[in-house]
Amino acid sequence: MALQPVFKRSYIEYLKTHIRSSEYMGDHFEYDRSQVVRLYGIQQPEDLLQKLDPSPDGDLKSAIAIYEAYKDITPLFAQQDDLWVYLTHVDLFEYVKKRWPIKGEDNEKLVSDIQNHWFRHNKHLFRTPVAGLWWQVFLTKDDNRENPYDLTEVYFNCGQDFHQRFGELTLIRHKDAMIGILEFLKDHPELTTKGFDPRGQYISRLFNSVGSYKLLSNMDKSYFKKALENRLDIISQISNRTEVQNQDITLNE
Amino acid sequence: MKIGNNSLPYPVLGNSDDIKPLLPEDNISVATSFDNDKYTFHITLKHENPDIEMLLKAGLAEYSCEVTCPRTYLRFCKKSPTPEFEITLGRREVYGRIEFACYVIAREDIAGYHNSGQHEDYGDASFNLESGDVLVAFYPASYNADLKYEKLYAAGSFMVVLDGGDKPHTWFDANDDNIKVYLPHAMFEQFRALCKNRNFNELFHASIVFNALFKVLSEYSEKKHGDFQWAEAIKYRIDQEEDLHQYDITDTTKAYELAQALLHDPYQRLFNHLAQSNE
Repeated sequence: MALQPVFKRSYIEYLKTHIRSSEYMGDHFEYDRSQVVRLYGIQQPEDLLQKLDPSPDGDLKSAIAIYEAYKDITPLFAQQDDLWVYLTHVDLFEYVKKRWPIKGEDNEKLVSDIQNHWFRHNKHLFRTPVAGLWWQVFLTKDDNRENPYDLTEVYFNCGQDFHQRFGELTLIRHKDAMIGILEFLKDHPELTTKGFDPRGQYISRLFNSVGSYKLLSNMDKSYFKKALENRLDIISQISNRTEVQNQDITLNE
Repeated sequence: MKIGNNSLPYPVLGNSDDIKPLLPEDNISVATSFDNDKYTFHITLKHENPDIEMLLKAGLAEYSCEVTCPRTYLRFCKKSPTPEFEITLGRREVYGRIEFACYVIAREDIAGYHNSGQHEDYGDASFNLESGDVLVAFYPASYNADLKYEKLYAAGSFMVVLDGGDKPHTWFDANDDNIKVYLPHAMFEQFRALCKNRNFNELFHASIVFNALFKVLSEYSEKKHGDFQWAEAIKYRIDQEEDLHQYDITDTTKAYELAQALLHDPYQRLFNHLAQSNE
């Protein structure tokens, strides 16, 4: 296997400031090959593009394939743009285009779409294609389970609103919290099969409220699971956002 | 969690004046060492509250240190029965600011908690605490990994000049670890040729660098920019350099003065340089 190529950082800066939407409309992206370097210690995976599913329902499969291909990179490296910008522009260009079709009505919107999907999303890393998928697996994988992606599957089944809501909370950085919440959802699949979004909103509101007076990162996964189990009746009955917005969050057990 | 100015339903030492005497000024100290592979942080905590000390000695409470690195999504808690922590982080686990938030936490439910120093607003009330409730909130501490502290005095350590392409005017972008100055393409090519000549440093500082710094400081937002390395670099210098102690990066009304101070009076340096060249 060859070493993974990436763009030089100066070239990434150049691409960001010279976006021409026409260059993203074809079936591949034309780039200056003199602006590519090889990463020491990181292999370029074979056939990664073929393993990805560009349908919205295919995010779980794609995320795991991307993570498996780059499971040895460090968090330090993963939070930089080097690898991801190269992948979106070269190795996985076709996948990004199909999964997130460019649909701006005017040039400004087109450029904004391109910036958010081929570079870093302006709101949150989780919304950045490819990079976001890698991080979501990294933060939900549980190596203590026979299938380490068991809870990752639960996470992706919750829908994009849940990902964005939890991805933007500091709670997702606390592994025990995510494992506890996802184990609860795995035990109660009926909660996620239909209309999960308002329930997800309730869960994030609950822990936001508790987090204002309790050090959540001090608690292990059983705390989070138990907190949700104690409110199973409430969560089950939520069917729309208005119910959540008007709901008093009961903080006592 | 951030207690900040919140009032909790029970007194917390370190939260406003819930409990007196307050925490000592040196309630937290952090000693840092690093090598090629890791950072090691030795944290020592101090409080002088006998009621809380009694709970700690009885094993009903413990010290807890929450470590967060927002840029690498790292967050965990380390617990200790004593007020010392040694925390090791791999250099490849972290980037940018590492935050330490230390507390004393209830280890189990505590019925009838009353602190002899609690504010008179609480009266003689006693409180039933749950496991995980905060008893003491020490001052927050932070460290910036990858910030090359010894190089902070050069503007180039947090500013970079780039090719702005077809755009007809110069513009600045402060939404990244370096402040980016974009010059129109033709001007950028001129800059690249001229910046190799050190005789032009004072000229560039008094113009491009000063303008960029003044603009970003006048629009500074802690929420938007606080985590970036350029902001950390400036905050560090304000903390370390006596001449800068009077400034606060969040006070945008003083952006002009702060920019001048950071660049050691760029106009004066320019005139000194021109005067020397004229001799």
